[in-house]
Amino acid sequence: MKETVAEVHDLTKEYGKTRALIDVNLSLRRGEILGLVGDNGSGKSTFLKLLAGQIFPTKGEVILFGAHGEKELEKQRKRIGTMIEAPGFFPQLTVEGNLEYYRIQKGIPGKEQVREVLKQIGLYDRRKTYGRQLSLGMKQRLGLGSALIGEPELLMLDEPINGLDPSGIIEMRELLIRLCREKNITIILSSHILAEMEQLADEYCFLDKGRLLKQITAERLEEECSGYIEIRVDEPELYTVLLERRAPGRPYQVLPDHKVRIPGTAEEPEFYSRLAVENGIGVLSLSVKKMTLEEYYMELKRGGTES
Amino acid sequence: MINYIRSESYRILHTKDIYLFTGLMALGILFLNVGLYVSAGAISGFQYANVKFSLSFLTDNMLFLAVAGAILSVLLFSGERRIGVMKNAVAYGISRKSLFLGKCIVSFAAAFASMILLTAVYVISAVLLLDGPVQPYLGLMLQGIAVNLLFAAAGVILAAGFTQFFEKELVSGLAWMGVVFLLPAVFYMAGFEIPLLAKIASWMPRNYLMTDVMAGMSGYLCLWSEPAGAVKCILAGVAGIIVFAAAGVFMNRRKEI
Repeated sequence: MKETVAEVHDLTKEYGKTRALIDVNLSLRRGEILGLVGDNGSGKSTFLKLLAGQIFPTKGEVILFGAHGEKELEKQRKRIGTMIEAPGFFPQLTVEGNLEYYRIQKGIPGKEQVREVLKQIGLYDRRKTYGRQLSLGMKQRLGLGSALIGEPELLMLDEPINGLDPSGIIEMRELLIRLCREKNITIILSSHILAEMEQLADEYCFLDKGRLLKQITAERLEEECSGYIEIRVDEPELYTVLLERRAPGRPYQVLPDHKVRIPGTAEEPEFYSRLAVENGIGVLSLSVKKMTLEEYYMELKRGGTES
Repeated sequence: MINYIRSESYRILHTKDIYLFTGLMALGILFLNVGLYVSAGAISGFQYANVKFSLSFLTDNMLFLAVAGAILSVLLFSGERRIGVMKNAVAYGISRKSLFLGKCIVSFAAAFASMILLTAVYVISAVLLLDGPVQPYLGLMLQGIAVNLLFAAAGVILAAGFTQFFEKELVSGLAWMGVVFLLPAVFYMAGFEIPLLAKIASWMPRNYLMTDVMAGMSGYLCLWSEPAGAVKCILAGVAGIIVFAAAGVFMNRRKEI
């Protein structure tokens, strides 16, 4: 059983009357990449800020590396690297100077790690460039570099591929996977670009309006998204009765417009069309679909996907 | 906190702010003494081109030490929240208290180093360019610096506290002016009606430096030339450090970033 690196219990954050995060419970194990999926205002950044101690919970508890309570959490946060919202750096220091600043702040002896991180983030040739002269993508890399100084065990990255060009996105993806697989670093990642998230995450947390809709592993998600039949029949009520008799235990959803969705059935459309036709139910349409992460999230938001 | 202080020292030494501040202040000081020197040659009967008059500027305005220290502190730490470096420090586990106290120490060290250099420029340029005896005016000014340095440190602490608390420099500056200038003025005025407030007001640097210090061509009357006056300045400075440091820790202890 892998060690639990971070967990939260009933975590709630209110800003006045606005509830940014509501009773969130989740845990994260060592060496995993957790993808936070949610719209703007869904609570992703609030969640990361609470873990990072930048804001305080209204209710609930944060546990990092088994420790809780503000004093203990401060000690454990030395094992964390963060880039939350915009990357934080000094515009009037060079790239190398910024990393050197964080190296000193984190008490890392020697300058080798600065050079190593400069190479990792692909800014070694730009090490003498001032922070203010960097492009958006390079600022993102510098932000990641600052987080990597000190070899953190937990990395929290908010929209890390913002502003990166296509090759930058590939490099960032490879770097994060390498950090996770080779150095066993746990990563919490939030991104709007769900297609990118699909290539990285081992586990997903879907958030909407401050609520955690679902925490699910990538394998389980793959199963749930593996494909479904959507059949439109003229008598959906009768069709579902037949479905329960002929395919007991098979989950299904009745959707508006006479549609019935049957997940995990992409391989056997004939069976489901025959079921209708043989019992005198008119089949208006039948389609075989595979759900993308976006569609899965939208479905979750509508309350359509079973927990 | 030690690592935070070290990292901030590295940043300050590798950026231009402290050098610009000290350079501009030194230019201002040189401008004053060179101006007096040139005026002596250009205006017949000009009586002010002497060390006594030049040094009276600071001797008569010792609160300037606190103002300059506060400006430097705001300059060094302003915009930290905006550029996102404070949140990184907090996320790395540096407590808000350590951040605040670290800023106080770094700001004061930077301001002190800058002050030593500027005082040297001030005194040397005055002695080299201007006429008249140096003593007792230099001694009174240096004594003044020594006894008012603690309140200058308190001013730096107050500025560091406000800079960490408020996002905008203007708000920090106004809040600082309110505490150092406006509040004592209110106590001073109210003291005419309420004796207790008059007593409190008399311990506030803005008030005692205004009423008990006078330096200029007509002479030097300095509160700190008597032991009791010097002790008063020192005690007020110590009280300022304690009160402003406690206020800074309290204000920032649960500050969300």
